[in-house]
Amino acid sequence: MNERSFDKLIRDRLKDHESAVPADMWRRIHHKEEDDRKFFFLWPWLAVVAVVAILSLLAGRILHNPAMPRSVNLSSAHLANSPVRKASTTASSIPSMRLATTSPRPAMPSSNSKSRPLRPTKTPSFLPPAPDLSHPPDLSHAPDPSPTPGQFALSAVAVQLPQHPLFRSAPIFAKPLPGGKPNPIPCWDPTRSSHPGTWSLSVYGASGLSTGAPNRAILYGAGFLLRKDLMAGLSVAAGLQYSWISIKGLTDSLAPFGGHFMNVDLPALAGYEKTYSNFSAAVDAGIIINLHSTPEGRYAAFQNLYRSSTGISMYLGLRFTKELDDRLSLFAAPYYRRQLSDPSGNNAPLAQTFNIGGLLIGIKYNFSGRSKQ
Amino acid sequence: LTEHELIEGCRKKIAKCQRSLFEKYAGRMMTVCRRYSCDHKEAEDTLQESFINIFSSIDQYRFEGSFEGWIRKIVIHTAIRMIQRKKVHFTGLAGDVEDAPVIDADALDQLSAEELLSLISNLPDGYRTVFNLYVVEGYDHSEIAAMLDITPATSRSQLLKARLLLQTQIKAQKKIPENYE
Repeated sequence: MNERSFDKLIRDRLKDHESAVPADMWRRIHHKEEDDRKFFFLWPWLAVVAVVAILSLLAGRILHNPAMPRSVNLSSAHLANSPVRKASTTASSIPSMRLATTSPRPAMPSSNSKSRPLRPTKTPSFLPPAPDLSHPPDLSHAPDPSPTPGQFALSAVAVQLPQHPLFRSAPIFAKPLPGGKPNPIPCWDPTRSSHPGTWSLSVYGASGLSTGAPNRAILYGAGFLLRKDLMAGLSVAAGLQYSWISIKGLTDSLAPFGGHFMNVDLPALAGYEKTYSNFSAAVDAGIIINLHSTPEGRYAAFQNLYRSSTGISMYLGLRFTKELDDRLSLFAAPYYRRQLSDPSGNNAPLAQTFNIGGLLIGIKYNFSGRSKQ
Repeated sequence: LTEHELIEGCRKKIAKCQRSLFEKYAGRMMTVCRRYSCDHKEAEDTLQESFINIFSSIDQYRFEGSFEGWIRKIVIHTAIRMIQRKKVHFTGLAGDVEDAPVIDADALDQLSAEELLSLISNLPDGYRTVFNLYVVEGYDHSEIAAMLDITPATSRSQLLKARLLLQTQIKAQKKIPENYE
């Protein structure tokens, strides 16, 4: 009997043979699948909980820092040189100054009969007592940064958090609450928001993990984004990204293991950014256009089954930026990227679709610099 | 339920449909798992993992070609992945392969499928994997080489050794009368 006959006999013998399956096999599969499904539905919530926990921690550290005096930034040279200073050095003479004070004292008589008296405000229990504003500190040695008229009011009501490392470099603008109550929550600082026409360059490293079967992919990459600030925190960005996507998961066909794709992408994003002192949070959304996708390694054998481009993906991400100085910033951006189409056909051993969640970490260089804005 | 309805039910994660699908194909897929596994415990683990993969990726089936063929590919893929986890080394032949014992077709007929499965399970992991992919699944050596990250020459030598060992084992089963040699 030759080899071919031997092979055929074995093939025919085993072709339709059915083996006994353990009685509890279905129960094992069902339980395992239920466990996997619970975990799959759980992890997005875990991510949300983690983000909320981080933000709560950050807010807690800002608001409950025992070393953080709640002093009015009367050392500002704006105040020293201002007409308001000449008229009266009491906080009650400046209506907007009520925003930043936490004094429980009754309002002092105003030198200006048209201005409304400062009503008593109650100090929140978690805040230390407010300083006596009737005796402002000596302002004669304060530097003069020559503020614009528009900046004056902001500086006059700014709350300093000098002990907190996050906010040493800049004051936080305290937005008024209705009724003249002090607002302890750090708010958007319009003096440090994006300025129309400002360009910046971000260089980043990317990592990511696909979100489910059949493509359990790991992504590593690097890229750059050129961003232009438009107005009111809005910006647009475009760049290039090179990524290496390793596939190790289940395919819809018998596929080789451990192959990878080399992708070159063009991200085109729009962002909305809120700046808090030297920290900012942003939402980015847009599309990623794949310029070229190449199967490498063991996938190279199936190159003819794949398209040279995987098409368009949707991108949604958050971006948290910490200023290092007036030009450089460090940022981290958790993101989710969903591919809109599967360019590979059913014949390809592996679907060429990558829905990936991950993290970008990088450095942003602001061409104009904050000081010049 | 028709096969189409069964698949749609599985896509909706209906447990009753999943169970029906499992009961329909489990026996045949268990045979596939046993062919690629060294023992029954490993075959059971492979079958369990395979059906979890089938249920999680059933959305990928596009009603093109045989559904059983699609399931079988996933089972084979899962089995190979489990073998690769063991870090099997596929080594080429160091020297000439001696001739395999000559076996007549009637000799194979004396072996039951269960006995044949048992003999295949006794083959070393590398021999068994290549033998199954080539002889039973019908892949050629270049495809096997791509799947297992080996050279086509290594695939050929693994197959030759697998045949030799299997035929020797069949002979050793004493199912073969002397006049068949």
